[in-house]
Amino acid sequence: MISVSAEAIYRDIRVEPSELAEKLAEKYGYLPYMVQRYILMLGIAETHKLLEAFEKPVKPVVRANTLLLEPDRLASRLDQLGFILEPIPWDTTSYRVVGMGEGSPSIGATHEYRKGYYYVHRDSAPLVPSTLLVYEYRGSVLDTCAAPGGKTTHIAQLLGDKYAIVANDLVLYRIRALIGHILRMRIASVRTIWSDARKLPRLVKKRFGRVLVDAPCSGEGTIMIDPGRKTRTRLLDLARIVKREIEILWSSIEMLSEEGVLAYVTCSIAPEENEYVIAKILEQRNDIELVDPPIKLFNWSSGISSFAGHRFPREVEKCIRIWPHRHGMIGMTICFIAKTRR
Amino acid sequence: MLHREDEEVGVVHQTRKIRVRAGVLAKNYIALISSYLREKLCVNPSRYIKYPLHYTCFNDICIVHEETGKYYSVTLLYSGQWIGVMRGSGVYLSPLLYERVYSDNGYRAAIVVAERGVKNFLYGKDILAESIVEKYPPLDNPVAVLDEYDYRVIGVAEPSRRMGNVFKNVYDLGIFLRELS
Repeated sequence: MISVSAEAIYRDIRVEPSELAEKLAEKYGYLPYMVQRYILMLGIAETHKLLEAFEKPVKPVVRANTLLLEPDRLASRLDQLGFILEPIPWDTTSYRVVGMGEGSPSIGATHEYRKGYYYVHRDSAPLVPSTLLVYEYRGSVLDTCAAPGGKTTHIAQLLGDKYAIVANDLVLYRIRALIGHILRMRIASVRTIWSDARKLPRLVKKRFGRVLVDAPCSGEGTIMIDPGRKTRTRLLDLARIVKREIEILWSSIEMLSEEGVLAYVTCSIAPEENEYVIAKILEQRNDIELVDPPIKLFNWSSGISSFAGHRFPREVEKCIRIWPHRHGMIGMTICFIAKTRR
Repeated sequence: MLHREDEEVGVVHQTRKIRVRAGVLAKNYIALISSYLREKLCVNPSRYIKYPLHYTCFNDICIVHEETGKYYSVTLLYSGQWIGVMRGSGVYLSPLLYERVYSDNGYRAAIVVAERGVKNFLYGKDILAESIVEKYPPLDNPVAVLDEYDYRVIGVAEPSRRMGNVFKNVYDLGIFLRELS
């Protein structure tokens, strides 16, 4: 197990907000350190665009449960119910809900939803990691922080409900929701376990060809959905979150079989939670390497290799960054790590 | 604060808001499922379920499925096919299991319900006689409720002699929103 201290991380990631960052933070209602990091990553002009993008809500996305019906049949049924759908160009099973008729039920309360015909995602970005992780893969998968189950049920669908998926989470009420989705969508391939992801290497002997780590994060990419995140995470809180992310990622790598691939995902644009975490792990392991995504779904951005005086290993550029102002989605970062022979 | 205690038939875990119990399904429940499959749906139970069966309860809602216990050394809360739902002293088949049986053998112990009845049923209401558009006997025991739109099973109802021709809602797919989300 890796040993890291939140205080050391705090000292490492501390930034001093500039006058401009203070001003923008006040205007948009953020903690100043957050805006300072945006300026450091993106420059001033793009920071304005990002802050504006966070002010615009994103529309939810429905993913057809292809185990039960064809996507076009779902689309035509939702159309009958008054929903206006737009296809997602790079995912033929999913549609963005851009409008609804007067008197339509909410998208999460239709009969079709209850019957398990679809899953409602907050946005299309969460479709990316599962699609890429199991691309052309057939075998078992571990989802270390699985609840409430959007990515778990997506993986089950992509694998045709034919390969075992072990879905773990620590939080019981979230596991209850995960099981609800598994039942509703009539998925049989998921085994739901209850543990701290950091303890899994000690408690589970099996190793997996694919591991998904959708780490509990600051949610700094989802400010348009939850504006409370503009002020919720102080820098010391962020350091604590980063510590947990490093520990979870370390343990999750331990769960990989040789030549297995892991997707490390956060719904955060914070480099501290992404490239910094990866760099800390790479510093201490010689049995992993970052790998490119197997296909390009759309024109996403690359990981950043330097930030606020940190120089990360150049290979973090293989990570995927989804930016709200560039891609019209929630912010998300995805890195693929392959386990090599020691 | 997390609280755990072992019980004879399973394991109880409790947080402040959620009480979860899991374990091996008692023999009397298994007998109920088997006899329903054999006598009402006229199929060989062993073709559709693997013994032993297990249950997981979140507070008052109990799901019957294929495996609990340990996955290596971790608590396993749910695994495999959804077999049924426990309500009160009864156990009822899942939509998944009904549909597997119907796909092999045709409809039995089922009612097909029109749109308005479906809507009410999915909100936990009972089914009135005028909502039923087709009946597949026997109907004197729990029946599968099928949506007329696509003939999918959306829950289970029981005939109520006391309430005339009403089929009482035992459970419906709305439970996932009402009790598990």
